[in-house]
Amino acid sequence: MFEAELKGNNEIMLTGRFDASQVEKAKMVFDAVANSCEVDFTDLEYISSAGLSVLLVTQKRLSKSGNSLKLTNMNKHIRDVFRYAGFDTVFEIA
Amino acid sequence: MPKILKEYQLKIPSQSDNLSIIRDVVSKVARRIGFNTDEASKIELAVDEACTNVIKHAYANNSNQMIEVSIKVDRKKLIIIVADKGKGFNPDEIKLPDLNESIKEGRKGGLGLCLIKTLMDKVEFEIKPGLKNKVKMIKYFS
Repeated sequence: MFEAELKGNNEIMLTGRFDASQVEKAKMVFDAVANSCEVDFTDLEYISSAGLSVLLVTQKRLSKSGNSLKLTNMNKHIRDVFRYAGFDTVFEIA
Repeated sequence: MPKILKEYQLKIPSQSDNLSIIRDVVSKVARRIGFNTDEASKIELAVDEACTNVIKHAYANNSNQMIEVSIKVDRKKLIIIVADKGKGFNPDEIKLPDLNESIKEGRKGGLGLCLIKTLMDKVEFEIKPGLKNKVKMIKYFS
């Protein structure tokens, strides 16, 4: 199970397990983001490189207009995945 | 060669919807043989990445093909082999991504392989395109 829900104009709530099978569903939400946005990881249990890539592509697109993603409330396991991939230096993680 | 104490086999269609089944099996076996939750999570992610590479690259999202996951346990280690009969690759030609460069260029390739090498203790490749390609991942008991 995975959900990506856009709340208002500047917050995305992620829920469940974000692997390669969920990329298209996630892209529909992330592609709609035009400004800086907070991504809430409170209820995200798992992420693979497929999920990281969706975030990376969005960050790249937003950075062209001076915007960015801010990632919040990661659990230890997901924070470790960002660290293993070197993504902890690419995103603002709060 | 150390005696194999336990052995499990999984043969499953090459569909990303099946990744969760593969992860569940691998995670349960890893925990059952003594890896803690943190180590089991690393093993689960490494196998997910190997299988995702098979689905996306070896079989180019052709869901009629099969992925084979072989899990073997001996006294010192867990060995997981992910095998396919698709398009092979030269592991020496896959460059691990420079993340600053990836951000600049918007490139995504190579990240899965980078994670596999970080998460597991040893990774070996046996590539025979169209016949059998194998990614062998080893995690030692600490």
